[in-house]
Amino acid sequence: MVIAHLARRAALFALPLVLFLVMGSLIPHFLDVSNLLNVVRQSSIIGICAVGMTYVIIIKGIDLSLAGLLAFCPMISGMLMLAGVGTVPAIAAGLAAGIGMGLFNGLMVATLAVPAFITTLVVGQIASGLALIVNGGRSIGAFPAGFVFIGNGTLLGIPLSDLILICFLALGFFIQRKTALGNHINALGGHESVLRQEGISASRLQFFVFGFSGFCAAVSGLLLSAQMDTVHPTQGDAYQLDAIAACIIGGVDLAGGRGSIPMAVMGALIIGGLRNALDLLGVHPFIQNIFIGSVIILIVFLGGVVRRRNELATRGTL
Amino acid sequence: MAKGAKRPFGAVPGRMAAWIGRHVSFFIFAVLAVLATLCVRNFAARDNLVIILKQSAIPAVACIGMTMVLMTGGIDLSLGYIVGLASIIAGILAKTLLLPVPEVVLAVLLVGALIGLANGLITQYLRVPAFIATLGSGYVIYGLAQIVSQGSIVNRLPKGFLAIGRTDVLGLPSAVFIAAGVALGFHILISRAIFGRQLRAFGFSPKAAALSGVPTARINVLVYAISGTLAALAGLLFTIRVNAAQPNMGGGVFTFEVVTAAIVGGTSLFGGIGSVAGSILGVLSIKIIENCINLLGVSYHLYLAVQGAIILVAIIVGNLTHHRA
Amino acid sequence: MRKLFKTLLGVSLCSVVAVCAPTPKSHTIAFSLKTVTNDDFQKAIATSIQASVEKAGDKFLLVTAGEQTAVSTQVNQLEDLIAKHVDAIILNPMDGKAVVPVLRKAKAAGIPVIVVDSSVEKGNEALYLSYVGTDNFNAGVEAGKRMVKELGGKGNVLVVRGANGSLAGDNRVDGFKKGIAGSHLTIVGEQPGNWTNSVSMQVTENMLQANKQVQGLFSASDVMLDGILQAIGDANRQGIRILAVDGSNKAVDLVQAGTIVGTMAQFPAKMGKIAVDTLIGVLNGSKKQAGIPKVIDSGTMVYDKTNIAEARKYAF
Repeated sequence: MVIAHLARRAALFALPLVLFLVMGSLIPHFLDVSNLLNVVRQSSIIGICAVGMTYVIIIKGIDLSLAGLLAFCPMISGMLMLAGVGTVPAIAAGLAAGIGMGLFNGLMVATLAVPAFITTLVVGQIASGLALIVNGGRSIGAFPAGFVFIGNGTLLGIPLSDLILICFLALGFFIQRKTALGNHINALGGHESVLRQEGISASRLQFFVFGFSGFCAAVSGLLLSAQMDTVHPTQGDAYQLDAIAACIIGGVDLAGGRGSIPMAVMGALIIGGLRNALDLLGVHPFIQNIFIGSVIILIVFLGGVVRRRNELATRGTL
Repeated sequence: MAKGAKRPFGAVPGRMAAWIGRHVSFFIFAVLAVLATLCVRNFAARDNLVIILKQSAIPAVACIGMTMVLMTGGIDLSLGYIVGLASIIAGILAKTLLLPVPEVVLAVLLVGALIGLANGLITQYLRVPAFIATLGSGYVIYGLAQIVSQGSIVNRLPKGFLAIGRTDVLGLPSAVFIAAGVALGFHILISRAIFGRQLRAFGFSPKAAALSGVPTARINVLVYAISGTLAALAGLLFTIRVNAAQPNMGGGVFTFEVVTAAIVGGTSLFGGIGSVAGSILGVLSIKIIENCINLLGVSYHLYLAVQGAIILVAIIVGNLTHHRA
Repeated sequence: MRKLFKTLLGVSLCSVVAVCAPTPKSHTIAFSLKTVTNDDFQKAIATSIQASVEKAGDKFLLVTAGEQTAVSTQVNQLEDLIAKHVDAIILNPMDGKAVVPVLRKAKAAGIPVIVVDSSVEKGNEALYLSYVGTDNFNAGVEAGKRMVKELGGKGNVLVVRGANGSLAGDNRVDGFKKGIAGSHLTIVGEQPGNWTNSVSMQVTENMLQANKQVQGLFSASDVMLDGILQAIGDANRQGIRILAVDGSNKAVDLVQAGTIVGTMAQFPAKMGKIAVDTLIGVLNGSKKQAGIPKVIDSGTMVYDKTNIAEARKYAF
């Protein structure tokens, strides 16, 4: 019985694994260690955003401020660093900006009943606008070596970016599965009545979830800029939809109440791996779009089939 | 208002609140229009108002389709990309292949309908969430548009083709009247016909709707097909308006603009709530804001930020008088 | 469509041949840029590079970031090209700073790089063989000076910018502003057209509405002219002197018809050819890396009514 249950869980991982092996056998250089480490490094940006985004989607919200925060938060830190402020306080300022804007989103949703779509979109646009205007639309770069090392350095051969992603994965997983906070977040998305019975404030949870998402976006943005040694005012645009798509590929339900952080991170790796594979194959850019679109639909379709079969099988047991 | 019901602070009591509550989108639109007239020079000038109508017509057409999709609890992220594909197909058929105008229109609308149909089938029968189904199909469509166009645009289109949308009627281009006709047609369909009730029921609870005999599968597929067709129509009209067919017309930015307009117009992302009238007012509201920002000469970097802030304030004010879902 | 199929067919045939029979080493040369969609200028560079590469018997790889502002996507793609072990890279960087770390990796991997059109941040010359291009800023300055001449030193001007965050567009507009400095020309409206006709039309409509007296208009690219001209036509405004940048056939047609004054040409085909010739020379060993000039100016000039014949030769 236990083995069957484990086998069903494993089936969910089988899909990406099969995809991975297929790509590895067909595409030269895909399985090079340096390339795989690169893929994780490139995906870490979407991955960290996906950790925060998972909670937001679980409580039936959405966070569209990623694009703006991914540019604005590092812009703050960057300008401070270039002005002579130490790396650590500069990073702290950038993180504070992200948390602050996230909390603002939470405030709008919790107390003013503004749809998450609108408030996060607006906050994102404001952040984008600020990122553009603080330096006249120009990018900034040439940061202190310590900062650049975070994005490009390695520890025991593993890029720091990958390690940071793993930390966030662990943090998110821990909060969700092992803390009361995590339970309450899941409840807010699925069984709000439970919260009311226990006297837990939904508003406080909303504050946390959006604030945390803003925090994740800030970290991602800082990491991205550390990797490029640059803050470009529009650097976040490409990541907005990918982060949400990563969550959904990972099985997070847009209707709320359900989602697994490790799977969302897996979704991010799938997206990153897919783009890498297409680049390595040298597929024409026009055709890449067709590929990515089709594969995303295919993966979610197959994932849904596996998930529904699992649910059917476990119904009546446990 | 029931005692103990959750209410945002500062709600306006009484009958006025109830009226505003039922017509939040109109309230927002009216306040914006009044503020703009009072505070922005040249806003209320006849030719400026004509411009706002011209700029609103095409997003309105797309927004009607999106509203219906949102009412079922779904979303159509391929909308902006269908606009682009429709645009370049229209351009190639009309100018490069010199097909007669009615055939061009039919072909473009058919393409939109087929794509929408595919979206609907994937969402309904393959059980892929609409977000992913339409995001994926959007990428595919964009790739197709690029391949078909080889990245280039087609401009200076045949006059007969342009006449569809550029014929002057009572001082407005015919495109505005086409949009008005589409709006009226779907307004009647949604607010008077059974289809509208079924749509709302489906949006609130697909299971309950199915149990009460609503043909949920058919409706789910149908709304995407309609959205696709209207997106194609919007692409056609856009192409005529700027006299250029581009594969990247519309795009993701346009999709978001349309969804935002629908939400400002009172549509709920969770389904069940929405109206054609509300969405049209939402589009007009956003275009009024954009117009004022341009008239006031706000810095181009802050353009979106200012627009966003005003939308946020508008929604908050709307909420203060009525609790939104 | 046919060209694409031909390319795909050619590529697959080449790969089959390469696997089946040992042939003289054919190099893979990749061109990384923002996009070729709705961007005639970039497309012209890409077409020219492809022609030169294939003429030399080598393999051409097109790599686009997809959007006008997807800066980090380009960085990721460059990393992937290094992982793919391409033989050489031609690069049109979307951000001259952001590509520096990855250029270091390319150098470490021994992949020669030539930069075209937009430049890499100063101080990193050791990371690439050469920069082939013209100054977007300068093109803007020339356009500004010409506008001053056209308007007799005074008047109101509108500016339609590129997308926010686009360095090339920003440079052109900054140059234009420098070009009109000191005259009595005033910029009364300035909005981003986002390199698309639908947006350029809307912002031009609104700017014309806000400013009843406009004598000149500068567009950061030929690409946005269709929408701009529609807006001007709809508003029934006559006599606005228009200048743009790129040097495309579309713009030359408009110059010939008298609709616009001129377009600042930069020579994308020339850029592409010089870049490829230099790279292949290095790969074959016929050119010494040390002997290549760091900056190769591919030239800029204004196409107006006086030099249409010459314009036609180079317009794309």
